[in-house]
Amino acid sequence: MEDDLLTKKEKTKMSTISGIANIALSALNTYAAAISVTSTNIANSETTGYTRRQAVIEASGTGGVDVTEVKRIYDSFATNQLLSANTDLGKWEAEQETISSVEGVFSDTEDYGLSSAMSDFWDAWNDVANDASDSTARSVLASAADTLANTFNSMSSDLSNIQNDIDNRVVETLNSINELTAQIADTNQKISKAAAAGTDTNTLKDTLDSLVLELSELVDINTSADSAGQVSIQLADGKILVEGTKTWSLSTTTNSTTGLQDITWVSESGSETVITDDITSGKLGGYLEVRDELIPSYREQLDELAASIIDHINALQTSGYDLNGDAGVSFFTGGSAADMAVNSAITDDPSLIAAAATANGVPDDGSNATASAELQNSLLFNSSTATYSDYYAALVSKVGATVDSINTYYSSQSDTVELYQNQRDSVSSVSLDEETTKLLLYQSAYSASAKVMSYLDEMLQTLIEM
Amino acid sequence: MRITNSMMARNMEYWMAKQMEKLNDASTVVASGQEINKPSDDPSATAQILTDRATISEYGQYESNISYAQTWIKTSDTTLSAVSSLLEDAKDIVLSVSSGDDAATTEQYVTLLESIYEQVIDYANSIYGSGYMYSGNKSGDAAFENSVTISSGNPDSIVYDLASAASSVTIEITDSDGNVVRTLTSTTTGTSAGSNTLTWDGLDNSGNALADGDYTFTVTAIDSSGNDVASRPSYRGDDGGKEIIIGENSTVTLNNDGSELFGDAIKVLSQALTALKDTDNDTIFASDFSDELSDVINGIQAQEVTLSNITSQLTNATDRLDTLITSLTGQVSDLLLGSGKEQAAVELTAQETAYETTVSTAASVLKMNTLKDYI
Repeated sequence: MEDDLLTKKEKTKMSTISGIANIALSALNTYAAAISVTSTNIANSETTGYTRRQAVIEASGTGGVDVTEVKRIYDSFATNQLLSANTDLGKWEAEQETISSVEGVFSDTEDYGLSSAMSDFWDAWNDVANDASDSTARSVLASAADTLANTFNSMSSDLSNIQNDIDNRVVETLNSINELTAQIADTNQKISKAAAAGTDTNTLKDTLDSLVLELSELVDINTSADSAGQVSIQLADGKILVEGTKTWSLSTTTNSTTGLQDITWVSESGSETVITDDITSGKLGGYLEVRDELIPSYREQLDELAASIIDHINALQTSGYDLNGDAGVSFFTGGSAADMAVNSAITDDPSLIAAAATANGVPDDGSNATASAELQNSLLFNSSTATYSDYYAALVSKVGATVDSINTYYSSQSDTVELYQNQRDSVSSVSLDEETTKLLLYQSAYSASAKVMSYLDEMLQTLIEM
Repeated sequence: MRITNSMMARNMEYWMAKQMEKLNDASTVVASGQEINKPSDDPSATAQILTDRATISEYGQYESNISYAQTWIKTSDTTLSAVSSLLEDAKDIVLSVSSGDDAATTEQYVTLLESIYEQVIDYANSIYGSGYMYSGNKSGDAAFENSVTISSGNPDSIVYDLASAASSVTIEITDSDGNVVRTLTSTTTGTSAGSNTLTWDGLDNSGNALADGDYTFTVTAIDSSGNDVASRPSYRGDDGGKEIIIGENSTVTLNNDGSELFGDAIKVLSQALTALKDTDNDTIFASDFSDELSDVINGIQAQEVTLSNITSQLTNATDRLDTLITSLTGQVSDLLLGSGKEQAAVELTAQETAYETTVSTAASVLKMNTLKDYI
């Protein structure tokens, strides 16, 4: 019964001329507003991070029409997928851009690199073994050994330089993270103000999305949004970066063992917690993996190689006799790739090389040199299955395989990100054809409503002239 | 799926970039002429290339060691055959003396034999490279030489060999200018058969200390019957043995032991010479020494055979290394080249075509009319 009454009431209202005018006016307003939304969409069709808007047009109680809401067309599932894919892409990108320099360190050519330096070193021992009293052969050996030591030194220092370079990138990345979190907190505040004032928050939400996407590339994060649209951000280990308008920053502290920068999370009270090991993805995670895992493991093998050459050659040298019949001195000083060097006494006077196995064998006994030369075929590595050159070749191959797999991961992750980007854009980006269609529809609805107005005008005229 | 203009543009961009990267890879292969330009291009082939190159370098060094050994052997062989032919000459002289056919006088034979003796000693003292060839490891010392050194005022002991026991020995020490500076006579020490060592004080005949330096000496020994006892320089080297690496854990040893090679020759020649100067009975002299010389010649020829065996061993080793190096070098260049130059060029053309297709698609898609162009 009540329904019938209402309907009757409405029918009565509609039938008045002013009622009809109001209806036509609401239509003119509505379609003007809808065309404005369409025009914003067209204007922003190429704007990165722009989410298309849709004017929600609904019939109003008075028989007219109204734009009840300007909706942001948005798929939160696709967006979240994109964030996490973007984090992984950041990791591989960071690894790719840094590991290629590491690969350069191990890129031996036919006449340059550790492999040929080792070969030249063993060859020089052969020549000393052939003619132990020949001073030329001894000088050649001293200089080949020097080249070998220098090659180890420069590979080791190249690796350190790359680590230091990555260290700088880590600090830059942290600065970017802190900047982004500050901007996110700032945008959160604007959103809360706009929501309170009842003004449009869509543009702010687009900004927020872009900032979060940018942040996701740098570090692994979890996000959550409250009803107003404010975003909270936590690191993968649960440490909070942004909550509402508050931020927590990341900082660094020098690791006393490695001299490299550890990452710390600064609490509200200002105390710092080291969280380096918790960061495994994003650009930051990628940098850390190359800096703290990959490069140290390569250096360790390089050191093992250098130390083994130093130890074995020195052991033979100190048990042999030099050209003066004196007991041999250590051939190399140092104990790793970084500090390996030819004993300066030997560089100054190659006759101190202990080529003879016995004091009586001086000067022409080269059997100690022969034993040194034969070290190159000794199976000293990997449970007595690999020679020096096998071991180094395996190391280079390992570096190459790592680079290769990083390249592959990067490439396939790019495809994945592209896929999620498409999924997100499929929902959120502007289609010019769609907008043109809407424009046509809104335009004709607007014209028709204007026609209604002009008919009403004629009707009123008729009424007045009666 | 809903597709928008910006999605299409971005996808086009993405694929153009990917295609560009492939094009770059393909053109690097063609430009560098090799498929592997960095370890990540093919990690396992890179390892193979590195070990192959190390092996090639190692084998190259073995070949260089072998060629060093071959030169040494060639030199040694020349020396041995020269000594062997000198010994044949000595044997002829010995036989001539016994038959008495020859018109030459004993004195002339002595001169001839002395010259042979000295030449054999010279050969035994051959220089090779920077040192003496047949002193074993003691390449700084001549193999057979009656010499003695005073260093920092300390004189070496005087060392020499006697063919048989003597009753008195006279040593004359001469300085580098040829002046006799000291004469030592001994009837007790330094008179036994074989190697003898006599110490001296380093003083000259007037009792003054001699300057540091090298001095030579002569030995004259007489037995109880008043006959000369043959003396000769002692071997001053050691048994040496030059070890040359010719392969992985494989070596040959070159015999540079002067005592083993020339000791007997020098001993027999010195005895023959002493006997010839002294003999009353040429027939006894001949039967004594022609047989001994024959034995010595056989010994030296046996050494030559040993050398020639080593030479053929070395030649085999070189042939083997040559083959291995050739096959390894081939393997390395195959690995580097990968599927080959032609294949790389084909790949490049394919990537060029693919890239052109991508960009022309992009161009036609991006300039395509949209709905707005028809209203």
